Amino acid sequence: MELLKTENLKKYFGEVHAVDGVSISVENGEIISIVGPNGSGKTTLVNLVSGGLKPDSGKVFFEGKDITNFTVHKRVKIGIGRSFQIPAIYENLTTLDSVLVSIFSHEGISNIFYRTKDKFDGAREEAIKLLEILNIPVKLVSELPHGQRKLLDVAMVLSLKPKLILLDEPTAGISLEERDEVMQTIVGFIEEQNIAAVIVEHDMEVVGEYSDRIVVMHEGKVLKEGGKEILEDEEVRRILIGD
Amino acid sequence: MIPQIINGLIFASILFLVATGLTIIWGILRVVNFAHGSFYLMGVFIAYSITRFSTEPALHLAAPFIAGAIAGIVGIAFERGLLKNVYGRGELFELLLTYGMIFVFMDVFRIIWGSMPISDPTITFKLGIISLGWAVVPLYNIYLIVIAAILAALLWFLLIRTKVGMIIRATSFDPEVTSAFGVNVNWVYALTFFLGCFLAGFAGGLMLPITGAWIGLDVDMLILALVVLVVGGMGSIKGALVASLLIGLVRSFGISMFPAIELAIVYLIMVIVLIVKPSGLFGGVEVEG
Amino acid sequence: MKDRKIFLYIPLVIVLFIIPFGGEYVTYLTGLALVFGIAALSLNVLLGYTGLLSFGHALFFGCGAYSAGLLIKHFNITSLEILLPVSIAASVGLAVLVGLICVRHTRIYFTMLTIAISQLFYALTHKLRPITGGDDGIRIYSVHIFGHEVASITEFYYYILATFFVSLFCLRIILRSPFGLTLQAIRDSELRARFAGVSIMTYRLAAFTTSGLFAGIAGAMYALFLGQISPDDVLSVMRSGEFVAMTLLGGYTSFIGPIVGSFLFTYLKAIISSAALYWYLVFGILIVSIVIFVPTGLMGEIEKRWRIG
Repeated sequence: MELLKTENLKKYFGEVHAVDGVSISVENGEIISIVGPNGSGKTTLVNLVSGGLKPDSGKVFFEGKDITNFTVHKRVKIGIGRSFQIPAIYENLTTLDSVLVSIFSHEGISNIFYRTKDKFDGAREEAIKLLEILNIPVKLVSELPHGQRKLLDVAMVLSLKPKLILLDEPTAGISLEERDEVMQTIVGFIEEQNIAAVIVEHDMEVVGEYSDRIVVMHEGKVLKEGGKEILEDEEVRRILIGD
Repeated sequence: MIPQIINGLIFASILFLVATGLTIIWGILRVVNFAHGSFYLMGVFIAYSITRFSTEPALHLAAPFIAGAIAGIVGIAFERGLLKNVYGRGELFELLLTYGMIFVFMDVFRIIWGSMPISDPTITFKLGIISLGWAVVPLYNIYLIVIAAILAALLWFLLIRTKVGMIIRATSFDPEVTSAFGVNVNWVYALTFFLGCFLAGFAGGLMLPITGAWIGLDVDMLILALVVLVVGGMGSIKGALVASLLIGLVRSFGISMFPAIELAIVYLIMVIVLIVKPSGLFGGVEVEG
Repeated sequence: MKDRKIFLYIPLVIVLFIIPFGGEYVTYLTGLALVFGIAALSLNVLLGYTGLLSFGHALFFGCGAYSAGLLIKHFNITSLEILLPVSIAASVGLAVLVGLICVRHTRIYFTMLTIAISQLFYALTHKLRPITGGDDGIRIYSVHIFGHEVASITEFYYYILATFFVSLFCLRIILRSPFGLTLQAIRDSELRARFAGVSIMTYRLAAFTTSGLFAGIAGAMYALFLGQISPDDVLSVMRSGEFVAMTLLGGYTSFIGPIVGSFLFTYLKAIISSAALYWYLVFGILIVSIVIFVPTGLMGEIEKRWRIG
């Protein structure tokens, strides 16, 4: 079933046509990658879908519902989560508490002034389990190495139990050796939970390895769409290598 | 009417000088200098000490400039010696450091100049009065307004038309880029602090014959300068000018029309501006951080 | 580890109970420190937990104090059991209104707004003499509790002590709850919290209101304890600054830091002022040194050492 659909999305910043008439769709459980040179509009597209930006024109549908005017808050509630290129994490909390914040928010109990024992213990167990699966130790966030910071950013999204996760450069800044491990951990989890993903990525090996479908963007427009084979396409190669 | 306008303009001129210093320092160092009122008060006290030497009008007219220069040097010493240590730790600590300095200055002033209010209107008598239509005003008051206007113009020229100004403005956008062009950012910071504190001290010196000084004036002046800063838009000199005129005149007319609540009106204006236009009259967007 | 920490506090609690045996002056000072402790704790709900520096917190302290004072002055109501709830209600109401304006902003912009709004009320209280008594303020001659007149400073000290423990307990629970954790998350990364489905403004407003509430309690108790309030004493920006200084002194990263700060501040001020030394000079140098050398304050530093050691 079609989970996400964008219809002719446009976002201009003055003269710059960051996203210029993009229509894409994502099926349930599908993993697609968006590739393109810097400034091709990938991150803007992620922002339009996640609610960080409002489009100038065009529509966003989620599970058939028009969500173009939904706030970030509402989009999270219906199951759209996102990670950030520079991890947005809680520097002074522990990893466990960080994940708990998301769980409390998802369960709608983060506004509770009193820590009820049963609810709290349930959430705690859930958080510890998720951290174990993603290989994140329980400690202060400020003590985590970069790779684990990226994972924690994703973990905080996954604990919101999204139907669609937008991953903005999940391997940026991670060493080549760690890259595969991080991607395997994330993709393993989202495949198992049948979560759909839109990955914005620079690393073509990662893109080829982990996506069901690839969307190539250039100057705010979708240039080509298809399986891994389009990475071999002459025009696509020229644009990506020109990056 | 004329006395209120003149009083309003005097007050506006002084506010403008003090608030511009505050706004320049904010614009370039991203520090709100809570000790700014103390530099103003320092200016009044220093001018007082200078004018003890003689009743010569030239000395009395020069006193604000000397007071400003000394305040500027103290400002540099404060920036290089103390404030520098907390750069990069966040606004909170920079703010609190300057807040702590209010108290240090307060007692230092008390030790040097005592706790009694001081004032010296000699120059006002020497310069005499001038008739403006149907009102008679001291010439010194006109002089004060004119000199503040000249200084405002000079400042505008310095910042917009000279190379130093260009470097200062570039630093406010991105210190790293400026240093990449071979400009010593430390030097720009020190210069900025000198300029900002000079303006405060100079304004203080100018007010010696009119209001004089007392311990506590530092905080009063700080609060009013903060009001101007916020109403005008932080970092905007044009905003400081408009807001000073607004606050100065409102206060002056307020004193004669609603003597009980003139200060409340000033604060009310500030709150209303901030509700309607949170970044102030001429402020840009709040910088996300 | 955690249990041992509780044992450390027991002697302190005992000391607080036997303080009145040390004489009236010590009782008076400790009462003040406790009241300021509540206020500084409430400030830290914003500063330490939400990451917002209020430099106008005396507004809520003053609101609590004046609510009590005005009821006594104009309606001759002197019962603590009425005065305290009314003060709380007034502070909460005011905090919601002021919060609606302030929490749209963060960082220095928030700080400036809190100064502006508190100054507005300070100026009004100063000038509306027929209602507020102007700069003479309000004198409070007697306080009753359930019909019984409070006879001594010592007796009222114990009411303050009780209020202090209740406030401490409530704030501890609130700050350790999912709500408290979410506040800290917003403080560290507003962006992530927003994309974790948290509505930032609602939480900031709730934090602001909580903070105003406890500051109001502190203000009311202060007014009744001292028997005399004036705008300069309870509403001025200097008072707001003192709450910030106490929090900084004790450590804003620690839950009990602000209390440690309020005790240090109150005793130090009393000792230095009585020795006729320059209190402000010492106070200023203290703040400057703390900012430069121990930015997390006394308790922040101690807790850091404990964790390492």
